[in-house]
Amino acid sequence: MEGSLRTQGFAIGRTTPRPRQRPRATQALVTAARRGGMALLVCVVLIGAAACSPQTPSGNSSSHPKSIVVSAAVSLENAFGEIAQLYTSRTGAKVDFSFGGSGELERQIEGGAPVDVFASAGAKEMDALQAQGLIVATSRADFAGNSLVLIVPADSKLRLGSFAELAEPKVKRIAIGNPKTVPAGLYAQQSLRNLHLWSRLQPRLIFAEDVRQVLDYAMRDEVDAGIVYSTDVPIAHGKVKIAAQAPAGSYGPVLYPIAIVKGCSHPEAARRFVSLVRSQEGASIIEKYGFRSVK
Amino acid sequence: MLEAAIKKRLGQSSFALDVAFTAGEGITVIFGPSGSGKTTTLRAIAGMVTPDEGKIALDHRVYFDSAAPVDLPMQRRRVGFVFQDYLLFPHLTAIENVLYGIHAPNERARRERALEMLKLVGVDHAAERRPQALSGGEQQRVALARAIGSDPAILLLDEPLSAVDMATRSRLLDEIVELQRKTRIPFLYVTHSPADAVRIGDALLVLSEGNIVQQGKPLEVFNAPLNVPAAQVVGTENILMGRIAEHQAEQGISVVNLEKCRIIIPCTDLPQGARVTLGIRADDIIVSREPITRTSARNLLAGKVKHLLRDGERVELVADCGVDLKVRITPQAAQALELAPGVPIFLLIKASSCHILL
Amino acid sequence: MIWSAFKLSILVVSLATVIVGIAGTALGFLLARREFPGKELCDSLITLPMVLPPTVTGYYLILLLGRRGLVGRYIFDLTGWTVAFTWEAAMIAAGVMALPLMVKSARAALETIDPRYELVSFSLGKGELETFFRVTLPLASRGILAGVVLSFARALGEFGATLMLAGNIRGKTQTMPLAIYEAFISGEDHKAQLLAIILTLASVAVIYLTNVLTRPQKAQ
Repeated sequence: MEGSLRTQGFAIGRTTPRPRQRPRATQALVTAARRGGMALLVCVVLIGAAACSPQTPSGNSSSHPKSIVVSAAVSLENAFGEIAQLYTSRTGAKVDFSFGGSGELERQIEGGAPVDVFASAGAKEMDALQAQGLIVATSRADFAGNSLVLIVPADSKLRLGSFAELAEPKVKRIAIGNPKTVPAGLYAQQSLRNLHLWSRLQPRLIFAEDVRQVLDYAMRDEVDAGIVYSTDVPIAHGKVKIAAQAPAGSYGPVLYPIAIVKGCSHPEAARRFVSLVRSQEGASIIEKYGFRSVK
Repeated sequence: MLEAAIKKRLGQSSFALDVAFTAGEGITVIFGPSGSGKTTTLRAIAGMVTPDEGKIALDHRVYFDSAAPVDLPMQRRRVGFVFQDYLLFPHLTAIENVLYGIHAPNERARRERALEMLKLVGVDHAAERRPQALSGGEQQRVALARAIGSDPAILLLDEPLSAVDMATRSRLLDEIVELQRKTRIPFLYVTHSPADAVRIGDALLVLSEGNIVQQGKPLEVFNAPLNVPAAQVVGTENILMGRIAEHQAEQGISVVNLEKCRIIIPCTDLPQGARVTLGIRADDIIVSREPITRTSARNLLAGKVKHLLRDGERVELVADCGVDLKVRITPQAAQALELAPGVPIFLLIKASSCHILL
Repeated sequence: MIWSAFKLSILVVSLATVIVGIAGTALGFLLARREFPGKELCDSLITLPMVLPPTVTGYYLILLLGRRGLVGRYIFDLTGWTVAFTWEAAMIAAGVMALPLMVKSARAALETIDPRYELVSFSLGKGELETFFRVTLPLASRGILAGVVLSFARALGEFGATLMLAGNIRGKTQTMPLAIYEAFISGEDHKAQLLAIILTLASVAVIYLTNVLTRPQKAQ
């Protein structure tokens, strides 16, 4: 009976709702994505395999390397950039930089990062590495000095003229580097302590990861004031202005040491970089960027 | 009383629904093949679908009027809906499902009414069970209780029995009729099963390709379609309802009493006096101008031609033999026998051509 | 340091998760159930933080909410308040990074529910809001809960965007991931280890919960 009913056109059993259709354009995209996705996956796997293959040792001999790795405090970024260009034109070797807070860089070297040269913004980090025998002690030398300044955003209405004025309630947020990990922060802390401002200002302090971040906060108007190196100010291109110099003797001295990392891959090329930094040419470049050169 | 006039074009297809009808007390069946627009009609009345044009009013309350314009959202229409796959909330028990739609002043009154509904459909023993723990038939009954519990002015049923097995079906059909009589709510019942339609319908609407091609009493419409589209939709089954009069087991036959005549069918074990629905295909009936008696056909009915419909290479003839019967013959036969409305004829039907539908 | 980072993380992440849970579910519902012009574009924008490097997202947040930002400058002019270096900033960063996860989970969970259940609810006289809370949400609850758990995990581990928008201020914005970073670079290995263990245990709990919640149910 059902059979005959079926041939007469009756639908036996339930009529199921039609499945939702994708609009045609989307469907085409999905199909293309599926096919393209397969091709992409293959490419990614091939590239990944190629990238993971070990470097042939012959390509990078220690006396004529293609590049060296230099970890340096972020305040040295611009000066070292120019020195590196000079270095490359002289030796043909490129310089790969790692700029950051000195504390962070120290930890990376302790962790075995393949760094050839280390330059920090303070002695603490270098002392720590030296104590662990991680640098070539004879290569260590101070090569630059710096000074601390108080900056405010360029359009600040606060009219700060001295560090002491930071105590005024109108200054709500002050940025400095993290004293534990950033030398500039440590110097700032020393200065504020010596000026008997530290405990009063503590609740208003914002710690940054490195001194350039302090600069960035001030440039973006996120803080009312910041303490950075005098060499950092030109980098802001006028977005900050100097309100005061930190009183001499209340901190530091700010001395930048440089050293070759022990056991690095290219000691000869590293030595050449260090001597360039300490040379007369290196000194004049450093002075150009506002640092004090040190003999 | 429901007054509905609905015009709707569906999506990008060329299908266009254009129906206008009224549905009064009792059970109105909307019958047609899949795709004819029956479910769309129901959904428009419920408010799930918005017609392009038309008017829907229930007891003079206007639910939809494209001219005014009025379009009451589903929640504000007093329409109960029973789905083919029950759609009981799986995260609620049977009684919670029914409680969901019940309004009453306090918690106790609501619970009482919910239990009353479940009792009405005979599943109060399963009140605390989840739908997953109920049989198909039980779930459908709970769905009915839930829909009726919300106090609708009309109940719409969308092929509610197609997911139920054959044995339960017959019982549920009777229960649905009884439910309608007890609650006195008009039912609008959509189905593609001729047996269901004839069994429970007080009135029948035949839908074909978006249009109503015939309406009237179910048996009349089925056995005497007035036009070709209607004839195509109702099919070539003659559907007859009667009672078992007697059995003659050694002779291999049983006798069925129809209203105005008797039909001999192959022996069945249905008890005497039981109700039975028979189906006879129009192709299986032979027409004769003379009474031929010595044939193997056990049924020889006298009557006259009511009307003839030419449908391509076939002729659909409706004969009045105390009961209307559709007969299908070739144009050549119609011509040779000089058949025309009013002409007296005799119908020969084999017992084995009479099938028990329900 | 550890205790303050722990307390701050709990505060920031809990609030972020609550907000993201509600907003994400609402957005997931809109994307699952409603059609509107630019719908897929909207979905792409919401997904962006999941795909962009966190520092890029942080950068955009600064552009938007910094003292000189598109929106931040008006907030500052009106209230004198700015978001940088506040725990609210940490919460915003965590929330923005977690939102795509929540929206995707909620959308997927809601799309698996037969929309006809909502029609049933309407036919029984219930409005859209009541239908959402009594039918849709309960039926989608497992998937949505899994989304909340994932969001919590993402918010807990958020680092890059938080560092950029909120800074690394102990007691104010130094959440546990930031505290680990500081502990490491200042040579305080023991603190770093302890914080790492806490975060690892939290993540393991999250994975476990997510698996339990998204396991296919037996009787459905």
